[in-house]
Amino acid sequence: MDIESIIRKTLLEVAEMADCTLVDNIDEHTVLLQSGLDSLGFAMLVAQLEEDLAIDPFSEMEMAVYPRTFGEFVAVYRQSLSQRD
Amino acid sequence: MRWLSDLSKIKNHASCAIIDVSSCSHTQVHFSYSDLHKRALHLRASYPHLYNQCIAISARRLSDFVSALFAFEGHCAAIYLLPKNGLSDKTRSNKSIAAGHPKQENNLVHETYNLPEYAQLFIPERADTQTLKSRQAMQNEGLNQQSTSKVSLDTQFYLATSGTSGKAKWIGHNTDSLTKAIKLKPQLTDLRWALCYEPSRFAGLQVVLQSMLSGASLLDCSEGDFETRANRMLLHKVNAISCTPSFWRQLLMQKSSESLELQHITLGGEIADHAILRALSHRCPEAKLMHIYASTELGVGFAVSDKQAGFPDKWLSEGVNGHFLKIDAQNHLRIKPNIALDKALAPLIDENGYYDTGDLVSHIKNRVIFLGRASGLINVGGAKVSPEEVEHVLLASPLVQQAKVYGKANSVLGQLVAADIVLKQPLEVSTSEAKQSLLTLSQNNLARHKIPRIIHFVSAIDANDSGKIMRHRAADETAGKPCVIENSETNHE
Repeated sequence: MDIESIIRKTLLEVAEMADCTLVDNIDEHTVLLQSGLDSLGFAMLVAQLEEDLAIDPFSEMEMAVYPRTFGEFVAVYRQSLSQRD
Repeated sequence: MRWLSDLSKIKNHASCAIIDVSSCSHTQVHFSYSDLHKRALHLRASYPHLYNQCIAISARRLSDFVSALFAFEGHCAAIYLLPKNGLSDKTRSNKSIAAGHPKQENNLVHETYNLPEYAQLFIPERADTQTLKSRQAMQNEGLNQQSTSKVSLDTQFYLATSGTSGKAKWIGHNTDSLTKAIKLKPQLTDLRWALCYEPSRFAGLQVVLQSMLSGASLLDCSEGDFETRANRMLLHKVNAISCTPSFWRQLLMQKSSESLELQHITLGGEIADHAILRALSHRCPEAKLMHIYASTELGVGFAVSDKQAGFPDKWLSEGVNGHFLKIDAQNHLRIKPNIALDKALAPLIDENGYYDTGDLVSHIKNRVIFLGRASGLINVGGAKVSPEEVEHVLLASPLVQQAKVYGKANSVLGQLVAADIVLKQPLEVSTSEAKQSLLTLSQNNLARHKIPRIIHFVSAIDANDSGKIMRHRAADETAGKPCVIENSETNHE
């Protein structure tokens, strides 16, 4: 499964656990904090991805980047995983 | 009268002091320093019977809060600061308890907030405006003289500590201890502050006092989603913000925050980590950037402005801002402050006058780095969680033999609640069913931020000789990781 699919799957699971209702048709331009996930949900998404992928790119990068859109979020993970490999 | 007098001395009396924002209608109302000064004078003149009395203020609007604060500082013997949304609509609308009525009519409020029975509830928006109008019409110039004729008192302000449950614990401060860290330079009048904290808390009160006493402007951003707040900041050209690292991270995710021309950046309420300091420094290279170590109990300890996490270890030998610092045998930071602490804190002060902050620290090279709270208290984006409270809920499950709850470092909210669980054997359900069962139990019994978001099933949990869970391990485990935040009850404001 590619990283975007993993993130989408995790996003759905976390939204249910966090009691958040996601907006329809999340695409690369969807603003993260308007996706229906609140800050706690977003924190849970990062934590769950760390559990599953053993990586938290936001704590590991030298210059912290705070992604605004879903596309930017996926790109951060893609880049971080490629550096690890 | 001191703060009220200071308010009248703001040079540009017509300049905007406060921008109130209604969370319902999003309407915005501007108040000049002249407006605030008049309102405070009228309040004081309308309630002469509150002189030398104890009151508890709860104001929904920032302008009301500030007016009452400045009206009664030096006038009342003691002021308890209640949260702005801490009273029900029914209580607020009850005319009989609008101002200055003692406990018998306010039992519920007094019990909820652990207020002394002699404290009189004061709700500024229900203040007697008819009295104000008549006094305004009658007295005009005479008002000022009348309201200042009494001897100014050394008002005690009581602020609630950021506890996790149960009744509020109140810590007393006087005017001097609250304003010790306030800067009054002429160039600070140009700052336009955003208030992102609850104003009745120590961190919020510091922002209110810094902006008001220095003649700057203050925009209420204490409510609303991040997009709304970021847009509001941009609209009003905010150039000074004090908020938690978690708040900053989410603010930086907003497009509109890129256009803010910030001059003054302050972090507090949680440990400021390397990553957020670097990001803010990169985004606003010209801004004055500092993270502040403070707490309701201690007041403002110190500000670190070298854009690095922790603080320089030379402060352990030289002190800072008149405070003396040391690390005790348990690796707790101890501070001998330059102010008198509330008497209730005496058990935490050693024979040499050093107060046990309860913050675990590590001395690494030339820095002292914060690791978290010795008590294991978890800080989820500024909201505190007692591990014992969560463990109590988990242990109620028939599936659970042992539970250890701790803070797991998280790059969004600083920490999330995590739990190690020893399941009872033989297990009659699958581990995924057990996990779901514990989540459901938690959802039914805990606030959202207290629910364990990471659950690990383990074979054993470390305990000390007396059988107590070894809580320090959680902080120790995260200590080695750079660029992460650990927990702290203390406000690193």
